[in-house]
Amino acid sequence: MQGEFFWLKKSFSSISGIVKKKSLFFLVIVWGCAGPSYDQGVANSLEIQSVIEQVNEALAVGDCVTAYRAIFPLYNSTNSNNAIREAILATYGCYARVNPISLIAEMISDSSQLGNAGLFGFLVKQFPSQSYPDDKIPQSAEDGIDVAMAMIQPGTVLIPQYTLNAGSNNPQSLLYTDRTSDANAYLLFLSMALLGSLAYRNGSPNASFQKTVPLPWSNASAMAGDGCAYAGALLHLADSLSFLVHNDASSVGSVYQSIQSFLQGGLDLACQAGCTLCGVSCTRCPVTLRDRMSCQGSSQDVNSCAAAGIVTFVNAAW
Amino acid sequence: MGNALTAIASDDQALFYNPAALAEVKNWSLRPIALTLVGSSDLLKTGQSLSSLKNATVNDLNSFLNKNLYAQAQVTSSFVMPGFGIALINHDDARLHLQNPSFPQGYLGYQAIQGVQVGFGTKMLSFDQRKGVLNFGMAAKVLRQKGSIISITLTDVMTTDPSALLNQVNSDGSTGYGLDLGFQGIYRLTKRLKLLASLSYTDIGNTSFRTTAFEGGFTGGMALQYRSRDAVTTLAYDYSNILDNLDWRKKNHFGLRLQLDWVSFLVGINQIYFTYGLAVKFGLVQLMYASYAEAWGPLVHQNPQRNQVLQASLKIAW
Repeated sequence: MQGEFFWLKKSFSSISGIVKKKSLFFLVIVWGCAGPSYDQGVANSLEIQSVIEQVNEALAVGDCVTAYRAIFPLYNSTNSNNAIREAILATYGCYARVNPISLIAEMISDSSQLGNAGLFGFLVKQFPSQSYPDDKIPQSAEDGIDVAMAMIQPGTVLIPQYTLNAGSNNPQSLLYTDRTSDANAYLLFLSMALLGSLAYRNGSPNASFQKTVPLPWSNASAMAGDGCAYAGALLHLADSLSFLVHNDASSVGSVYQSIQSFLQGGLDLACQAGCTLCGVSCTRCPVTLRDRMSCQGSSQDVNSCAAAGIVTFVNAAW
Repeated sequence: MGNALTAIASDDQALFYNPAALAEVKNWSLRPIALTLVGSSDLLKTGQSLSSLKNATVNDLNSFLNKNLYAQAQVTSSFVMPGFGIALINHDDARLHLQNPSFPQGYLGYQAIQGVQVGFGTKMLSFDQRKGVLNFGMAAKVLRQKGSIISITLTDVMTTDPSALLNQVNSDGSTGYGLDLGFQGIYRLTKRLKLLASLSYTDIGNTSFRTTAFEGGFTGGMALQYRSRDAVTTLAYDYSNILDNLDWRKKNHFGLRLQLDWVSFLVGINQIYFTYGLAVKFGLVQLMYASYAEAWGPLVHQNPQRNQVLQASLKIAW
């Protein structure tokens, strides 16, 4: 048997190398987790690569549970790194029913209505959600956003006042400029999932995806919990768009631009109005509002007031 | 043969797998052309071609998800004589692999390689009344490589049109220089049965190009070959990438070949995957079909990909 299998071997070796280096992908929520524990030691690179590949394979067929069971023990250990975070991020995306390619296509298709109040109807249309039984889309999106905030670019100096969970295995930065490109890009989808699902549950949209009741978090005292997460998600959406607008060279770039223009004009004014209503001072939306646990639910709390302003803005626009 | 060829390589195959085997070449032979075509099973099943990417929109990318699209065409010409071989190589391959709908990433690539490989092999010593010989060989190659395999990140999917990604694949050419070394031991157990053993180190120190490299590979092999009046039966085993931190099961290659006068049957295990093939000779023309699979994931059962190979060549020996 004569043959140049040599060349086959070469080309596949080289691609295998790429797969090794760029293997990817993947979810929290405290469902039962029966994966291995890494508390006692450090996983080697082959173990980590194989778990990430396991996540990829599970997510390829939409099996969020298997992916989560595989990756969560690594994420919740000293082994955690950006590749692992990316894997669990994609897993939360799976639970939140995020399909980036389809969503981008929908954005292009509905582009005319995204640069205005139509944005909110679009989000509800894309992420219908129910709480009985709980489809867990909002929780998955929130947990995913937490992970994205922990995907810090290597070599970044973190500012303590904008850092959450410092000293943990997964410290988070509230500044999007500290994070990796893929984390910022993915925040677009997770924040859309959170905004759409919470609005669907709380705004009782009609067949045209317009709210029939206002979102319930329009004053500072009602702001702890979902309201804070909702307002924070809108800021994350704006952050992600800021990143994308600066890096985009595609046909969808004008869509990002139009949504960003709409939000950029409205959000800071909304926060300012919310603060003014409480009698506290803020000239723009607080950076710390990106932490969904940051609202204390009182009219003396700047984050709660700003968040109430954002929700009031959405209620007026949607 | 499951890619177990370092101990039993012969003729121009020796040039690529183990140059020491050039010492065993008895005849002069010229193979003016050998055409090899390889396609992944996904490519053949779906009929999708990478060229359809040229006009693809973002939404079209969904149809490429979780598929391994790979195609290769190669033309070689070679001349082999006792102790010496030379081959001209012209190789093209293209691939696209996008995985994970929740977090689409993957790679896209095209490369064209042209070059020449020259090798020699010589008998170092014989022992046990010439029942055993030890051969040594060396091959050098000069290759010109164009194109590249690029990783497609989520950010790329979101910010770059598919056609622009294709443009990134086109990179200027660069030249790589490579060196292979090999040893082959042969011991005649009986008049008809011989034991072969080999060590080969290909692409020592990596054969590097500007955007990619052929990684060095250190392989050990063993084989038994039984020559009867009408057939040659060969049983071979290779353990490849000995020095690399890989799943050991990915290093195993096992093959069985039955060579009759005009037809050869091949079966084997590549890693853990069944391989099979058939080669026939019609005068100067040789045709071969083979099917093999290999894991692209870190562990041997992860992300297996199967490819089909067709080869036609013309060989003149004297």
